[in-house]
Amino acid sequence: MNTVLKSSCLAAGAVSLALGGCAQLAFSHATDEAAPVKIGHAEDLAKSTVKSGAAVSFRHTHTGAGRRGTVAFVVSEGYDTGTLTLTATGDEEISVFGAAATQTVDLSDGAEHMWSVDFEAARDGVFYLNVMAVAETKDGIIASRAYAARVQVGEVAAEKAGAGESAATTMPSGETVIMMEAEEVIQ
Amino acid sequence: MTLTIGLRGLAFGCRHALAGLAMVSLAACSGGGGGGDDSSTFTPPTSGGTPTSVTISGTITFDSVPHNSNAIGLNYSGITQEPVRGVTVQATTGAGAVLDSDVTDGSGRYAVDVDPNTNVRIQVRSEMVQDAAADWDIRVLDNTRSNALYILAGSLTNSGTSNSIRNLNAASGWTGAAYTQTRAAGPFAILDGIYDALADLTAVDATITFPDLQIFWSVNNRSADGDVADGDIGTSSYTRISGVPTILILGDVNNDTDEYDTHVVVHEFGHYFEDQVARGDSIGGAHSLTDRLDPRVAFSEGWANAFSGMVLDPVYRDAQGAGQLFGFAFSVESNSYPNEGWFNEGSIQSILYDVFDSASDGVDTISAGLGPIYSAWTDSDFLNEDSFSTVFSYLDVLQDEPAVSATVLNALRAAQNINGTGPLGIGETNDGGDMPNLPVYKPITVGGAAVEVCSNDDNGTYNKLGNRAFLVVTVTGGSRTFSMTQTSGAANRNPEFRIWNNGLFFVLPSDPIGQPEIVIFSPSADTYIIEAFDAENTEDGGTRGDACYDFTVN
Repeated sequence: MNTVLKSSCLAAGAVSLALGGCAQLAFSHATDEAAPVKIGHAEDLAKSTVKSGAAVSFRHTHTGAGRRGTVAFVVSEGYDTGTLTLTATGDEEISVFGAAATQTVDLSDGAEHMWSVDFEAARDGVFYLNVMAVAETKDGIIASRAYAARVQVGEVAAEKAGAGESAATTMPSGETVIMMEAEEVIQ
Repeated sequence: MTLTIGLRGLAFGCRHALAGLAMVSLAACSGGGGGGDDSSTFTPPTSGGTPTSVTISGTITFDSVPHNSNAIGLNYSGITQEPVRGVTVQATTGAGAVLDSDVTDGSGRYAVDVDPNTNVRIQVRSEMVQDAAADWDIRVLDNTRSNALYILAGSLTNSGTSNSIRNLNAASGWTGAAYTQTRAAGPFAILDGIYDALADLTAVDATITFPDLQIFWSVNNRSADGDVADGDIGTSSYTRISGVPTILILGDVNNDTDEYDTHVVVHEFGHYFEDQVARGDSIGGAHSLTDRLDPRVAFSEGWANAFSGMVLDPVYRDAQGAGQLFGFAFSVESNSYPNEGWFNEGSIQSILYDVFDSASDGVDTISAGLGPIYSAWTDSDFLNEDSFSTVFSYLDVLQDEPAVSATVLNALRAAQNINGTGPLGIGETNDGGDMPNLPVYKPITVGGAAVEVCSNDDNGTYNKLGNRAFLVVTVTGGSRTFSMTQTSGAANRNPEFRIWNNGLFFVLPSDPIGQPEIVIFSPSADTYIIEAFDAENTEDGGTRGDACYDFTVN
């Protein structure tokens, strides 16, 4: 039974959510005596160890009709005081408009902030709005964090990443590689 | 005919000297065969007829884009061509069959031998592989294109009848105002930082073994949550994917791309090091210099920041935004951060970097270098400590290193308002603004009185100080009941706990939300760490709040 339990949890990715689920597969009730098994290291249940930056995270949803719409962000931050400057930008295929594309938030005003940005896409497809958050504390410490908000316009299948780039090549050895041309000087 | 060329690269390819040498020897490997100057006069065979083989040698470089002098943003007008060090170079046929291979030395030089009058391509693989006293296998792959390895390829050119030189450069792809060409330099810019990290670590341990590492980088890697195969990697990070140690690096132009943010790359390599070579108990998650963090996260992030400073320079730089012109920077040499303490990564990087560096500032009079820092990371006492890997357990080992003055180390930690001692931080007085955060580990005895533990969201969620409480218990065997019952706070909180032993945790059953958490099992006689928390404060989508609980072990 323990073996089954271990395998199930590891196969599920062993994230914290899986722990409860896996455990309940094996134990009918928490108070039933059982012999727990060690399944691993902290990394097995952790989120990734991410790079340094502003203590800011994002969630977003988007609504709209046709190729115009609005992205509604929920910006969570972990600061007591200071300011947070939020900037959304598009590119040649999706543009943002309106004064709200840049917004400054008072960090003493709660830990979550709502922010809406209007956009217009040039065509149907999957696009990303670039978001930059720059936090400055009252101590003058500045840190930033980027976010890319995925927006789908129209009923289109998501384009595969890298679709517009050179294809990977399979070598005689079976290895998959990407060949990139070098600048070469032969003497 | 007389060619003036690099003698080391030509006559003594690194493959001839590689076996048994650590990376630190790579810079000198091509000179190990006979010394001599960087360049000399070489006269190809003149005995008449076609030689049995010819040597193709040269230098591999990549376009390196520096940061601006104020440390903010990239400076494309300052691009230099830097050597690609420690990577695999192959001579291949047009069909890709490998004729010979070498590893570039510390100056990017290589030499391969091939048949004369043969069409040969020189290609450079985005990998660093060494199978010697110190060994590693590190590859940069495109996670958005079938995890393919990058190859910088030269032309298919006849090898002729005499030795020749082929120099290859990986271009940045920047053409004045934007990236309009293939960003071939990216994978090699990433490996450049890794090379420096390997060199520093092998300098203090010539027999170090690094488990295989894959680095996922793509121009499609953006700061979006989703499928890694689509490039939605969240941000640059270290993790395990299907059990394989993996560093993910952003490549999204005009938003956040990190191939030239070498401190970011080395920071993540620092996480890989602690996870795979030493011991790391971090639970990961978002963090910043000003956060009050779970002490495991604070120690891990402070180490990774400090390590990037040790390997490169003390100013951590991260370019972001349109044109890669923005971003932020900080110095790990700084000793002043808001919210100093055992839960702040700034405090920890300050201590570790001060132990390392040769500059004296404030109470820092230590110049110990990386040696004792590495020794402490790999000390069996640290690796096998009952408690988590935190600043307490680490400094408890580091202070015993001969090159480290315990007196000065204590001054450094006191300057950061870290007062507890021993691996459990006993006697710590800095509560981070909330009394329930102390003691760091709450002792609990089998059959003893209930111990109060609390979980709050005052400093944020998931990995912040106050989300989780630690208890320490010693059991002598037998069936034990671990119980966590809410005593204050709103209804329907979700008490949960994990039981840890030497860095490993047990799979435990879980009771429903709103009910006490009760687990019965029979641990062997040993000391255990209990991590108690309210899942509403640690899981995505939870209802945040403060609550306290009685914890008992019977």
